[in-house]
Amino acid sequence: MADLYTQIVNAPVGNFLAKNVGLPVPTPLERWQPGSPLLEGRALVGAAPGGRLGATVVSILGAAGVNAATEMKEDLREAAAAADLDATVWNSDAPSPERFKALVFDATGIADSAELSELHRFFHPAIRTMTSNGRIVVLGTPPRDAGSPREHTAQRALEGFTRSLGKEARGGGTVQLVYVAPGAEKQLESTLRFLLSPKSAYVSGQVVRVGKAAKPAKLDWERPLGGKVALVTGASRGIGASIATVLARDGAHVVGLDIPALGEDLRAVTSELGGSALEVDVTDQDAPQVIADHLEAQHGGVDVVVHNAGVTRDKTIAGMDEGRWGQVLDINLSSQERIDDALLEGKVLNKGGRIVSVSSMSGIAGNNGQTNYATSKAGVIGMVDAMAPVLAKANATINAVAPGFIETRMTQAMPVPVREAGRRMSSLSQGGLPVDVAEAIAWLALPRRGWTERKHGARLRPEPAGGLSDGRRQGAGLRARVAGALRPGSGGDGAGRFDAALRGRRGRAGPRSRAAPGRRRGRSAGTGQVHARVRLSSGRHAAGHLSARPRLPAALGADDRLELSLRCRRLGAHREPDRPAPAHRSERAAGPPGAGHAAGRSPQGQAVHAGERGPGRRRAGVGGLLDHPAPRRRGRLRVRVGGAQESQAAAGGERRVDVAR
Amino acid sequence: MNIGRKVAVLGGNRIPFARSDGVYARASNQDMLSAALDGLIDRFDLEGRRLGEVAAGAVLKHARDFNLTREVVLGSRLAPETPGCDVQQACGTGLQTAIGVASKIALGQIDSGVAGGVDTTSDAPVAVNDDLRELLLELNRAKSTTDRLKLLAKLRPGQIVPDFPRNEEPRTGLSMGEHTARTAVEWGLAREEQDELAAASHRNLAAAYDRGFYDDLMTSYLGLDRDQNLRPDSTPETLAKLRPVFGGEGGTMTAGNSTPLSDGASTVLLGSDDWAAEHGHRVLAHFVDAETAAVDYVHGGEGLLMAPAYAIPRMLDRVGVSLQDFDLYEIHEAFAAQVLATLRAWEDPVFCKERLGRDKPLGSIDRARLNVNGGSLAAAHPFAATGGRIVAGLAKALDERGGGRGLISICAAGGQGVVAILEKEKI
Repeated sequence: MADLYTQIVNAPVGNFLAKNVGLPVPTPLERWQPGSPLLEGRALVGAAPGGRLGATVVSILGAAGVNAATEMKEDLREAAAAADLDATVWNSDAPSPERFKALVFDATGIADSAELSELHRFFHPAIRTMTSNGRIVVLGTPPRDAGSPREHTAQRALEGFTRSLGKEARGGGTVQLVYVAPGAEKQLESTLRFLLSPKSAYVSGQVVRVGKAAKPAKLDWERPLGGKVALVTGASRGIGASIATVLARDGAHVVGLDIPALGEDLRAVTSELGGSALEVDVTDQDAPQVIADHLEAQHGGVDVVVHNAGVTRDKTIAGMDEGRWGQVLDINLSSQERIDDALLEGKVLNKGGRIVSVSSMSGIAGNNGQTNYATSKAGVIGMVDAMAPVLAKANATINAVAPGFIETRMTQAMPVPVREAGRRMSSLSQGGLPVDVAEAIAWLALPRRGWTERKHGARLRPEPAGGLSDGRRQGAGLRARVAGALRPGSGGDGAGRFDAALRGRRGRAGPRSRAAPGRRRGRSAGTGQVHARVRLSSGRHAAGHLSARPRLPAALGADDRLELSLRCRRLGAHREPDRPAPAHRSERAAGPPGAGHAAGRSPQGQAVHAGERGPGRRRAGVGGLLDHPAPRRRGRLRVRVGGAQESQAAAGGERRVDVAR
Repeated sequence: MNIGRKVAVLGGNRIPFARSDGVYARASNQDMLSAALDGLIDRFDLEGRRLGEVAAGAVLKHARDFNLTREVVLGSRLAPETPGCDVQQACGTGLQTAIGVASKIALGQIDSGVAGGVDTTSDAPVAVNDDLRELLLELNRAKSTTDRLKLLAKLRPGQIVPDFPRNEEPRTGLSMGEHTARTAVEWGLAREEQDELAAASHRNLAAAYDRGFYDDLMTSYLGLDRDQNLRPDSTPETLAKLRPVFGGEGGTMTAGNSTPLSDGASTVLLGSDDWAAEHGHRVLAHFVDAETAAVDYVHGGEGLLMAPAYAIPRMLDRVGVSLQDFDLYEIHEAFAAQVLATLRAWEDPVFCKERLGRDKPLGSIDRARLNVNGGSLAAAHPFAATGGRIVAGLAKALDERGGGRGLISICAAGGQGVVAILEKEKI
């Protein structure tokens, strides 16, 4: 039910007044009811030339029974024919007057900033065709997976487009950007279904990342959580009750948890859903154990854990006593950590488990009077970041949802002006409902979703300290030095995806260049000439050139060993020292903000052009590999997956780095 | 034809097409068809000869034209023992008559025949209002004077209004142009490409006239030597200035890329190879095969003029050739949008899969082989006369090239389409 203001301004007189005075007129949002189709209307599929996701999108729409039209592009039309989707034709030069409920645009083919005009070409005529409560999804390649700096730039630019379009969209329309990693096409379905359906009514302007996962299971889209056990804390009312309802609707057996004082409300909720109730105060010393034991004994483990229980005790820091601070931090953050630890230690979280925690916009942006609350909610984000790799080892994932202004008892208690302002400041000009948070959580709880990075943890960055230690010079005149940053992906279901980024420098020629003492350090940087070969101990291998990182296939076992052998070829004349290779891309610069720059290291990816002289500062590469004074022709960097520590091989010019998954 | 003996197209004759209510405003269907037939008789020395059959037709016919073709034969210099029959299939009439005559020749029922068509939109049949008509019939049946007087008393002023023929489909109430406007929107056809097709049509027709291509395919009539609708200096730029006539304000169809209402007649001479040899006529091409298709444009959601898109694949499968295996294509340009929509449908995997049940799309054609000697947008389109124009023109064009295969595609009101293949063995 829409709030009072929305009701008033959508009624005839109120509407007239509001429009003339210039007040916002929020559109009542459609929400999903069981039995509704995925999309109440038609979808339009477009693509930039060279995209790789057009066929996937079309087949997903075909499987979901969505009525669609596609642009007149050969790959889209062929995919539609193959998916038995009777899609009509749409020409952006001669657009037909029909209306669409959803626009899906495959932007993975945009490899240069000039090609971003494809966005304008498609959306300029198409946006006018949108009906109310429309859905727009733009698909791209994760910038760090792009094949060149230009492509990286262009793909990163998509976020500005979608966020702005989200603020422009009228009639309750939402806009999302989905970065789909190469090879993760099969993982797109659940995300696309969620974002096109009325379930995502209160999600807009977001960036979602979809990564690869192994063994995607077949989902029953009517009851995707069938047979799963879900624990929901704070389930007696508000958002928690809504979460419990939605998870139960999706087929899970919901174990609702709340404090004994609210036991009656809790039982009312859970019995209606056919679930069970657990009365525990999460701040108790033995609460984690009690919960773990209960879940193990009664249900044989738990598949989905939703940390929703949370309180506010608002006061400015000056007026806040210890109790207010401690209570909020304990309930909202520390108890979650303890419970998660207990579940993991006791192996109560089943394989393929999902932990979702409720954070808040307050934790991202802060709020006056909520130092305690925002601290706890930001901590939740940190917890999710940190625990992701740990959970990945247990074949589970952890994510967080940060709701904005949701109509609950908590927000009803706010003073009216503050509340109205809070409501109107979102792009949809209205508050969300608890069910919106619940739907997002239910989406994150889906078994098949694959690795998504957005709410997931950071990536581990093992820094191989030291370098290739052998100082031999090669007589043949080729040398190279290799630096590598290996970043394992924390796959949700035990699958790993390694991005090995290799930076290298071409060495000077051997004997010939001895005659130039002043150029001892003269190493020229090169790209494309260094060939990297990555071999797994299982015998599989991947190979690639320096500027394109080698990508590793499929799932990695815990004892897999990576062996990177690098060969270089000398190219051309020397160049000035300390000039970074122009085509190198920095994984750091592309990583999550603030997460990658270790202290004391110069950031990579600076725009130092070839031809400039660097300031003579030594470029400290990752792990100081590039510090090594003596280059070698061939380096071998061995990485073992599965161990926890870094270790260094002593001799033979070999480095062994063990990275955690 | 693929059954029976080979059918040769020996030539044709037509009169230049005129725009409606113009030069031919007073010429009746009979007059024009007679003129075309007389020209044919002269050219091929058919005077006094008994042909197997003359088949022709007209879409807009007077009640008095009930035996139109036979009357024309009786008025010509052919032997009066030549039978004549009328056929009507809207714009497909001309080709359908050719199919009929060719089939009879192939089966050996006749050795030679003339196929053709005529139409006038100026000399339109104006009917009496239906109520008045019934009243008059009742009057005719009445036996006594008092009965007649009673009937006359029922006469009302509103019944005096005559019934002009309307250019609309009976079941939808929309004209062909309005139907095609929907098709244009459905297939996302832009104004520019339609204008380009129209300009090419004028360009090709003018070039064909200039090099004398039509010298032995046409006789003048009532002072016209060339098709009156031809505008040799048409360019896409000049056509872009016209206002849309179908599809509302934002429509892409103009008077320039739609055929105008027009008057004219055409005939084609067909015969068996033996008959042609016997009478010293050169075989221009052979009539290989034909197909007619119909679509449900009323309820089935298909475009009114999209039937050829269905007919062609059926025929190609039967003959065993692909869409690309042709040297020339003659697609009747009822509207530029209709031609473009048909071409796009053949290229579209979804249309070919969902509507035609094919795994792969038929593919695209070489546009340089399309309507190389001008099309209906330039020549104009008296409905039943177009078939004869195209068959004779294509046969001569194939002969001129020294051989090859040609595809004919003609759409017709009522949701039908007629297609055919002509072939001349390469020398």
